[in-house]
Amino acid sequence: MSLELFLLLAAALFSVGLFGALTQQSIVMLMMGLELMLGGVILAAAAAWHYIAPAAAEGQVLIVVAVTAMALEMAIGFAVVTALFRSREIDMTDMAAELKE
Amino acid sequence: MSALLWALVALPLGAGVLLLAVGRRADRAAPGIALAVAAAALGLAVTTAFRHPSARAPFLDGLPMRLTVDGLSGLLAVTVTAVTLVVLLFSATEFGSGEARARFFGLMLLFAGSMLVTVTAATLPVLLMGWEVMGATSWALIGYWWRDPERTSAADTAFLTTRTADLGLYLAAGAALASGSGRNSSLSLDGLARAEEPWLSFITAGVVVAALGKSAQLPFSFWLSKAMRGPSPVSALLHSATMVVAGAYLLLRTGPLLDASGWGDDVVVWTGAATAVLLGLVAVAQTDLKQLLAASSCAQIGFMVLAAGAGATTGGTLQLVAHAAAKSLLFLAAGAWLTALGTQQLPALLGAARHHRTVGTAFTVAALSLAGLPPLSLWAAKDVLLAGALERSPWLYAAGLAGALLSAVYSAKALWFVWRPAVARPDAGRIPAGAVGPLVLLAFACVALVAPAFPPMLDSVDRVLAASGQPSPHVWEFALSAGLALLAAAVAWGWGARPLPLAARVKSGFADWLGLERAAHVLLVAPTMRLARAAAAFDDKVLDRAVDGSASAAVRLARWTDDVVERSVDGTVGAVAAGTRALGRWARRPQTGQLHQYLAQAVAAFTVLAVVLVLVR
Repeated sequence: MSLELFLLLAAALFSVGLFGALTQQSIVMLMMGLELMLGGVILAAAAAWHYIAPAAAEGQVLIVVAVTAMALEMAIGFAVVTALFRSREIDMTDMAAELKE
Repeated sequence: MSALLWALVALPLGAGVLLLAVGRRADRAAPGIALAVAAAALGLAVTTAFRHPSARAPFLDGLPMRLTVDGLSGLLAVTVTAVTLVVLLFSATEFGSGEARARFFGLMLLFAGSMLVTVTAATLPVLLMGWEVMGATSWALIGYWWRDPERTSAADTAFLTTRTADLGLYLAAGAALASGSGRNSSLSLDGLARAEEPWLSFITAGVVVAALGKSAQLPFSFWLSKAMRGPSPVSALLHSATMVVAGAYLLLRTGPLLDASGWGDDVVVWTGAATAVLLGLVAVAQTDLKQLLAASSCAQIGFMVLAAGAGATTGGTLQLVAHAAAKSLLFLAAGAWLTALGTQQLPALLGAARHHRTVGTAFTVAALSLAGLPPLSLWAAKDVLLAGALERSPWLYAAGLAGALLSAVYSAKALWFVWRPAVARPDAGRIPAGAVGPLVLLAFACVALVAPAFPPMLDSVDRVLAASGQPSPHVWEFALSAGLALLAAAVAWGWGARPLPLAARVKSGFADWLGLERAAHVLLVAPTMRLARAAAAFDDKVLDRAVDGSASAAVRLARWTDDVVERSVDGTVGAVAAGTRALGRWARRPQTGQLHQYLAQAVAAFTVLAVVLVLVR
């Protein structure tokens, strides 16, 4: 596989994620869109590291850090969604509009 | 040398101010101090009269204060101080310890001191200072018994009348300053005659009005009648050597000015003659001794004014000095009787001279001198000045003789009353012996002063006064006036107290001082008051109302501004704020935080953009 194919895949992932984030009203679906976008970004970064500067170990570390941050963010996000749903039966972003205030 | 002159002026003024400042605590010592000061002043005056010093002190830029003693002012300084001393001698016994003696003697010294300033002044500003202080102290002295409202109102009348005439002197000073020569000569009295027309006329008019007012000549005479309400020593001093003769002195001093103006001497001569005749008639009509003497002062000073106008300086000065002696004696005697008998009405004074022989005799000497009988001083002095009138015009001489005749009539009238056979007066008080001495002194002066009116002393008087080419009377003039005076006095004596065969209106007119005071009220006071009232009404109704109106209008305008303008501005600001707030709310509406809504908005906006682009293309 070449770098272009990876970048194409990453762009497809990001676009699918962006479409999902923009169009979905369910909080879970929205977060899944965000996951896909982040996955695309991480994929593009990993491919760029692998093909352009495989000697620099710092690239690997950076990607691991990004994956870790994503995992943490997701865990917290799902925890918040679960807590919200438990307390107020909410699973759509429109219903949580008062959080804005 | 000049220290002498300063001392002459400063001594009475300083002592007077001191006495006034200390007030009642000095009552006991006041007569002694005043007498000592007066005696010292007399000594100084005699010395300066011989030495003719002059003094100068810086005063205003280009206008130094100058005092000088020449022949005329030397003679007058001696007269003033001598009469002051005698009058104070009399007052020292006359004024009991119950009176505010410090105030009285202080004021008298101040009065005499300001007259000394007036006679020694060489420049107009200094003269004005003396003149004003004299006016003010005369007011305080006439109103000495200030608890009596009649006396204070009399003092006010006298003060206001002379004060009105005094304005003339300010006019003269202003005109002298305006004419260049006045500036060059530092407003000196001698330089006044060198002023240019038209200032010369203004100066002359001012000086003449001021002098006539101070000397109670027509038409200002009435204030002297009012001034009689003051204590007798005040009248004696005021009539003989100060205040009233100050005007005559000023005219004698400014004789060259009267000549130079071309009309001043005529005005003065005829005013003097008219006063001598008319006020002589007024004196004849009086039934009050002090009023009679007051009117006679006007008439006698009329002679001096006449002399000043006619250029008979020597005659006028002699008359002034002789009259000072006679008139102070007459007033002091009248005052003594007033204290002893409690009256100054002629009918009530019947036989007064027989009760107090010495006083009566002294009074008689002075009255005979006043009548112009030989060989007394006023007889000769009057002829010396009337010789000047004869040179000018026979009519003037005739008027002067008529005045002299009248003076014999009123003097004889006064004498007739006091020499009637004595009536019993059980309640009569005693005249203190100390008060008689000064009267006798003055009586001797009345006799002795006849000498300077005849050569060779007349020539030395001419020399002292530096008056050359003075008219000197012929022998027949002396004889004529003496004969006329004798005749008039004899007729008046024979006539006695019988009423004059004249219409009642004429008599009351003369008794009322020609109605001059009423005329002044009608012509001056009433219009002034009316004008003042109109001005006050104008003030209340127009100015005051305008101010009030503008204030309330300003308040109304402010309220309207507050109501209308301010509210609309406020409303606009509020509306702008509310609009902005609404806009802000409106702008916040799309920001929901919901991504799907943003997508919808973006889609809508891009659709619109696309449509617009397509349409515009």
